[in-house]
Amino acid sequence: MINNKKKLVGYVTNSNFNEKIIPIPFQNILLRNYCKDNNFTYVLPYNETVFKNSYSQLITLINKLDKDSAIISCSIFMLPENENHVKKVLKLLKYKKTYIYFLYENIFLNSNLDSKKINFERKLAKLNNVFFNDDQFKRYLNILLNKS
Amino acid sequence: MANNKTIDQFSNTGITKFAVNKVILDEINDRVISLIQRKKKLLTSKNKISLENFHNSVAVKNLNEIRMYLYAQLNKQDWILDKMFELFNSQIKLILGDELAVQKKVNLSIQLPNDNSSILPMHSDFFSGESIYQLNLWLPLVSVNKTSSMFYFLPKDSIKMINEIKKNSVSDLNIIFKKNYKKIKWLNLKKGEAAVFSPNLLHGNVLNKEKNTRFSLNLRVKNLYSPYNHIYGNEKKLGSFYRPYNLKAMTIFNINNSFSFD
Ligand SMILES: [Fe+2]
Repeated sequence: MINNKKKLVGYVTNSNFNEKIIPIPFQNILLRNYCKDNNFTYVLPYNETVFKNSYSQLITLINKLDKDSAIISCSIFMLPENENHVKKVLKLLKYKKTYIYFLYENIFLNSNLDSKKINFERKLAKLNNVFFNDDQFKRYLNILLNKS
Repeated sequence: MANNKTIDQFSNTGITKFAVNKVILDEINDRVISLIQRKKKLLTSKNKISLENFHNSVAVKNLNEIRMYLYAQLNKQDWILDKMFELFNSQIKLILGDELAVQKKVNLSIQLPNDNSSILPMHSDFFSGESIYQLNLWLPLVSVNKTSSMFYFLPKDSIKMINEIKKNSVSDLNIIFKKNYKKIKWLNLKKGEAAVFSPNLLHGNVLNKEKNTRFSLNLRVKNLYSPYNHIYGNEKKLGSFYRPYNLKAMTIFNINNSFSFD
């Protein structure tokens, strides 16, 4: 399934993803270069809307894909936050026998296994805010120091 | 009189058409054709080039290279930008005023009949963060009709559909488009006519099923002082996406001198 695609359509966003913002012209350069190096034709991207938690452009794009096309995007953090929405994306990808390739993490999305991997990676990144931030660390340190 | 008509029409519908200066239009036309002639290697026919029948002179696979070449050459030293401002001067003044912010380059679109590689699906320009106070200047270099032109929806219909898109975060825009297809308006223009429109109106183009190729230029302009998006990190702002045009002395004075309330 993965080998029969000739074209990769870009999927870009000018919102932040995992605390990063890459201007769209630079996302285009990254995605186009990957396609060039790997013998894919790069198709100009769908740009996600700026509406909060909107993934309409992604859904529209998957539904519109030709048989010989898949999607390329910079990061798994451009996928919907909501896990049910990711499931919907995966279901559509399976139905269209295609995939999304995420350049930054070098991960494909076209199976349940991929989806689990992506979920894990995204939950892992969230830990930065839950456990490893400065405040938490200082509080933890204080407890340790007071005890000793 | 003509001024009031433009203001009324635009205020109500967000779009208005008008006749352009033929001398300037011909100048643009001639420049485009002479540039194409420099790319003979990419053409399939040696016949005299006509923009309407450009599909007889080029293979789809070479189209983007020609388009990129024309885009770069026309934008050299802002040649085409200045021409666009000459052509659209009165509409810009009436709708936006004098001191402006403008997209960095003029875009060129070429739609060959039955070429599905350059379809622009339904959207509003503010979907990506462009200002809702932006005016799009649209100049076809050939007559355009129905599918060789662009479609748009009137303000009320656009708002209804945009609300539907906002409400469902995983909606398919094509399904919404098909559901509302009956309300579609086509921007039909004869050669020598142009249009300005608010790109808040949902718009786009479909597969060109007419006999002629469409060549058109477009440029986004806003008043320097009308609001920009306030989305953190979004690039569709002054300096990154828009550049100032026709700055007035008061603005320049305040750029040069940092007076502030804080
Ligand atoms: Fe647009």
